[in-house]
Amino acid sequence: MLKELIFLIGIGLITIGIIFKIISSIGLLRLPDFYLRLHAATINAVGGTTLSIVGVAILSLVCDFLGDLRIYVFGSALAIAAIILITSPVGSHVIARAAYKSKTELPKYIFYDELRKGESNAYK
Amino acid sequence: MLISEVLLAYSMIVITLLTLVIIFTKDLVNAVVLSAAQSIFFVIALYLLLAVDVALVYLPVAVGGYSLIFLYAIGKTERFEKVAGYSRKLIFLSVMAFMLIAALLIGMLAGGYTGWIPREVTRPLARFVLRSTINHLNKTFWTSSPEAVSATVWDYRGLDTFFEIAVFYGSIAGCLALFRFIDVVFKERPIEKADVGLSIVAKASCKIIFALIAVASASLMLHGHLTPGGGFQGGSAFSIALMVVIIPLSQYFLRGLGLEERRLMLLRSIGLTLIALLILLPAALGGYIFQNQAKLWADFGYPTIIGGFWTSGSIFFLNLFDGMAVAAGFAIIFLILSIPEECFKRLMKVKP
Repeated sequence: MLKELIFLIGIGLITIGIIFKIISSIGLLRLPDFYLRLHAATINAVGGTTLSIVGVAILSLVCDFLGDLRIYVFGSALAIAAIILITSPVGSHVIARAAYKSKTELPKYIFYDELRKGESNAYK
Repeated sequence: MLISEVLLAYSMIVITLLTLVIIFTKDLVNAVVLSAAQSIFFVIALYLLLAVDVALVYLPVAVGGYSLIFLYAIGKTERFEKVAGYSRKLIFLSVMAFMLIAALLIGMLAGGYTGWIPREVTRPLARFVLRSTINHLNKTFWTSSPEAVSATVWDYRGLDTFFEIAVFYGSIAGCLALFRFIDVVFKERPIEKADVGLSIVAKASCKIIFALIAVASASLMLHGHLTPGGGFQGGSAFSIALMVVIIPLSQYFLRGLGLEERRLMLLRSIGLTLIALLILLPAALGGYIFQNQAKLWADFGYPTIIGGFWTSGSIFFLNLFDGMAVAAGFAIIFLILSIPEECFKRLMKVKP
C-alpha cells in the first residue's frame, strides 16, 4: 500500500513537471517581451525540471530492480534538483539585470520600476 | 592492401579531380564529355565495390542517356557559360573539402575496415593491469590501488604522466612570461570593492555553488586512488570553482583573499617539488624512479596503510600534490585571462 502511494506521488510529481514544461514552452512562443519570455524559460527550469527530478528521486525508492543503487539514485537526484533550484533562477536574474542595465532590451509592459527608482540614470 | 582497393582509391581521386575540372569549365559541351568520362570511373568504382548490377545500369544511362539530354538542352540554349552562380573561391574550397573527406574515407576504406579488424576482446596489457593492480595473492606487480586508471597513470606509466605534466606546466610558465607586467596593472588602477561584481543574489548563490564544487573536487582529489578521479581532475574541478567565484565576485575578491599570481606560483612550485621528492626518494633508497610498491629486484616500498587510511603507497600523495599544483596553475591562467585587454594595451603603449 505504501509502495503504491510512493509510486503514485513520484509519477504525479513528474506529471506536474511535464505540465509546467508545456506551459513554459507555450509561454516562450506566445509572450511578447524579452523579460516575459525569460520568465517563461525560468518556469521550465524551476517548475518543470526540479519537480520532475524530485519525482524521479521518489520513484527510485520503490524501484526494486535497482537494488541498493536506489539510495544513490535518490540522493544524487535530490542533489541535482537542489543545484538546479539554486542556479537556474540566479542565471535568469543575471541575464535580466544585464539586459536592463545595458539597455539592449526595454521592458514593454511595466507598472513599477524599482531599479529605475534606485538609480536615477539606470534606464531612460 | 589489395590491388582492387588501390584501383578504387585511384578511381575515386580521378572522379574528384574531374568534378573540379567540370565546375571550372566554361564550355558546356566539354563539361558533358568530361562528365561521361567521370561516369566511366564511377562504373569502375561500383564494379570494384561488387555492385555489378548497378554498374551495368549506370554505364548506358550516365554515359549515353544523360549526355544526350544535356547536349540536346545545350543545343536549344547556349554553349558557353557566362554567369557563375558562386564565387570561384567558394567552389574551390568546397571541392577541396570534398576531396579531403573523400581521401579520408578512401584511406579508411583501404587501410582500416577491409584490411584490419579491431580486436573485440580486452588487450593483454589491459588484462595485465586489471589482474595485477590489487592482487593480494600475487604481489609481484601490484600497486595496491583498486582504481586501475590511477594505478596506470601514477605507477605503471609514471614517466609518461611526468612528461605530460611537464608540458602542462611549461605552457603555464610561457603564459606567465607573456603576461609578466601583471603587477603594474593593479598598482596603476586600484579599484574600490563596492563597485565590482554582480548583484547580491548572484554573489550569494555563487558562494553556495563554490562550496559544492570545492567539496566535489576535494573528493575527486583525495579519493582518486580508490574511486574514479585523480589529481588532475580534482585540480581542474577546483579551478572551475574559482572561476565561478571570479565571474560574480570579481577577481579582486580573490586578490583580496591573497590568491595572487605570485602566491599561486608558490603553491604550484611546492606541489611540484613534493612530487619530485616523492618520485626521486625510491631511487635514492635502492629502488628506481617512480617506484611505488616493493618489487622482487628493488626492495623499496611506500607503506600501503598510514594511520588506518588506505593510501595506495605514493598514489594518494601524488594525486594530492598534483591536484594542488593543477588547481594553482589553472587559477593563475583564469586570473590572467579575466583582466581586460585594454589594461595591457594601455600599459604596453599600444593603440587599442
